[in-house]
Amino acid sequence: MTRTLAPLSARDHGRTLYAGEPLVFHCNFYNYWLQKTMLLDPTLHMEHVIEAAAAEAVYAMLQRGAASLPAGGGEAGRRALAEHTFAELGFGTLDLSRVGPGGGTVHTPVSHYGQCFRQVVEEDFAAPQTLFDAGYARAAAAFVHRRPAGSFRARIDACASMGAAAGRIELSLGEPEMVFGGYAHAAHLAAVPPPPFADTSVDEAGIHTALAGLDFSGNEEGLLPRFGVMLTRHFASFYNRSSFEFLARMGETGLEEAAEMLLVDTGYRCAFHTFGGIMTSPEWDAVIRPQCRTRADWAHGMVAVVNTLGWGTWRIREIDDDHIVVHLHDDYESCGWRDLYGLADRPVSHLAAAGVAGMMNLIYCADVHDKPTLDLDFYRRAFESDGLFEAEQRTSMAMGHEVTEIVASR
Amino acid sequence: MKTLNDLFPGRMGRVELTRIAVRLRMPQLLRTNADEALADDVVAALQSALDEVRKG
Repeated sequence: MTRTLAPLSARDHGRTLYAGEPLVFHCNFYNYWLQKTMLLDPTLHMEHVIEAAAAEAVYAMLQRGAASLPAGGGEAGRRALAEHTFAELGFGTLDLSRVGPGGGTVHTPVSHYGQCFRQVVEEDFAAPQTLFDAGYARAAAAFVHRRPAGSFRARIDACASMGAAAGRIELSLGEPEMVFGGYAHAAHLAAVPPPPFADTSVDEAGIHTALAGLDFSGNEEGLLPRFGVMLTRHFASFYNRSSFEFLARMGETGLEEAAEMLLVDTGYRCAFHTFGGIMTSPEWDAVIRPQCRTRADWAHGMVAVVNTLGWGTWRIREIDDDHIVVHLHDDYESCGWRDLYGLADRPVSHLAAAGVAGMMNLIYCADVHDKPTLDLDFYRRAFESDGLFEAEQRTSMAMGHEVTEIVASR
Repeated sequence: MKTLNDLFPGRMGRVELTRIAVRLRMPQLLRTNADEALADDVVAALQSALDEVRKG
């Protein structure tokens, strides 16, 4: 089936834009743990933030994407763009056919935040998890029917995460409970170009060529199963807006550092499942493993792959058995902070920091080259083992430094 | 009598304790001596919160 989509363009420093919106790959485990963390304190009302962050990014993306439709696409073209983009990026399937200018019902027969979250916990959730879908549906309906952003409210009436066979979201006219005043798309580009890839047997350009041959579009169900996880090609601004708002609200409770620590833990889950899945995949065996002579080469190989995820460009500056220094050029967390708030007073790249430490733990502590089963028991054993790497953010582009430097050591 | 170390052993326990501190808005939990005996009602509250955060 041919989908109606907006242009996808590669930018400097490993960034990828879809209708001008920076995209980043993340898996269902990261998305689950991040949302679980943000929803821990119910008095923060982060469910409204998550929904609004989705609506904000999606409305901006669709508005820009409409420029690629012939004659603006008409209502049918706009609807196709919204529905097909949802599937293409791995969010599932979205049916807007029963929504009019005054509202209606959105059906999501398949949802990453529904069925794929249910797969992570293997039990029904007590509350709907498809907050992103609700925000997407709100923005899509406003876009299709040429209404301003924030025209619709959403109510999740059925959610696969709670055991429903399919998702159902009711839209009605009216101001939603939260609309952000501004918009940031985290596409800032650093002035300092990344240096060449490390002098190693690992061929970054060759790895990128091989990965470019893989299909990273959602399948007929709108899902993106790869490397043993369910991927999404998600909106960087969604992650930034929601996680930074979480930190801001936690700051008022005296628990901001605890919240940052939990965001790092969320990143460990990401590294364990996504990096672990990549390093135990047939694609790794075919392309990257033959280039690796040492454990350090495994890190270089993993960094070469990271540089295709839209997270910015990573460069390993030093590595041995006990430490690694990585420079990040245009990491999406720092870029997002700069766009949203200007200069930060502390580093903000919690996902990236966890990614660096998590990668080293998989390679140097958990012997990922032996292809362990990446389940919770293994995670627990690995996380409790001696000699784990821990990351420190030494410099930060969010604070105005030229690069974000992350040091992981043990 | 139980301590925080009994209820939240190891690194993963420390992360779960942090989750509970956030959920209950109790920053003082993270400053409590982990070897100190806890009152029974505190233990019950923490175990209840632990059950909640371990659910999906």
